[in-house]
Amino acid sequence: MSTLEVTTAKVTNLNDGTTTVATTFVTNGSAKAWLKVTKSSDTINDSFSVTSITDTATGKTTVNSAVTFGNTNGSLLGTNNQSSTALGVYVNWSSTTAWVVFTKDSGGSFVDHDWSSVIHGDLA
Amino acid sequence: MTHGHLWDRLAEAKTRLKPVQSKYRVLFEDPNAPDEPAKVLVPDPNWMACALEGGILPPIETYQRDRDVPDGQPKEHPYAAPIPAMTEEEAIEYLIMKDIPPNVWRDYEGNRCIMRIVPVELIPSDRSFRNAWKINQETEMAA
Repeated sequence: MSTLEVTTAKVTNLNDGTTTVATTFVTNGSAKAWLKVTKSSDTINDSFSVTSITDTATGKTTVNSAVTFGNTNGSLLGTNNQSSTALGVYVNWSSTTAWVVFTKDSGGSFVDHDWSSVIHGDLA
Repeated sequence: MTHGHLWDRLAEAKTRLKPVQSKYRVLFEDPNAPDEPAKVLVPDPNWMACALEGGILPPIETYQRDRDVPDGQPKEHPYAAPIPAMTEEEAIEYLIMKDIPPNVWRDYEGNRCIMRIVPVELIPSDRSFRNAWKINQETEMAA
C-alpha cells in the first residue's frame, strides 16, 4: 500500500472499491458548524466554523457562524451535556449567520447549563 | 490561484492549528433594548487561532457588504482573498464589526458607555444575578 499526499486535489467521485459516490455527497453531508460550550464560564470547549458566542442572558446564547448559510432551512440541533433528563435545549435560527441556543429547566425557566449544537445545511 | 471556500480553509486550519483562548471579552448593551442585561461576546478559540495565523479569514469588509446581499444570493466573503495575520486586539475589533450589531459600535450617539473590551477576569464568575448585569459607568469594572 502506498500513500499519496497532496494539498488540494479536484476529485469528482470517490470509490472504496465497491461503491462510488460524488465528493459533493461527502461535503454536503458534513456538519457545517458545531461547538460545545460550558455555560457557567462561557467557555467554548471545542468548535468548528464559529467566530464567537454571545451570552445574552441566563440560559440564552447566540452563536455567530464564520460562514453564511444559503437559507435558514438547514438542520439545527442542540443538546445538553448534563446527566439530568429534566433539562431542555432549544435552538432557533436568528439569521443565515447566527443561531440562538436556549436552555431551560423542567419548569420552563431559563437556566444556565452546558450544551452542544451542530448545523447541517447548504452554504451561501 | 483560487483560495477555495472559507469553510474549506477553516477545515484545513483546524487540522493543524492549536486553539487560542482569548484573554478578552466584549461587553455590550443594546441601545434599542435598554431593559435587557449586558451581553458578553466570547471569541471562538479555533477562529482566534486562524486570525493569529493569517491567510485564512476574509476581509471584514466582505462580511459587511454581504449583509446587504439577500439570502440565497452569492456572497463575497467565502471566496475573498484571505487577509494576513492579525494581533489579538485586531481580531477582537474584527469580531466586534462582524458579530455585534452596528447600532452598538458604529451608530450609537448617546452618552452611556454601551460597549467595552475587558479582560476575562473582569467578567463576574457569580451568575446569580446574570439578568441584572449592566456595564458599570463609573469604573473600569465589567458589571
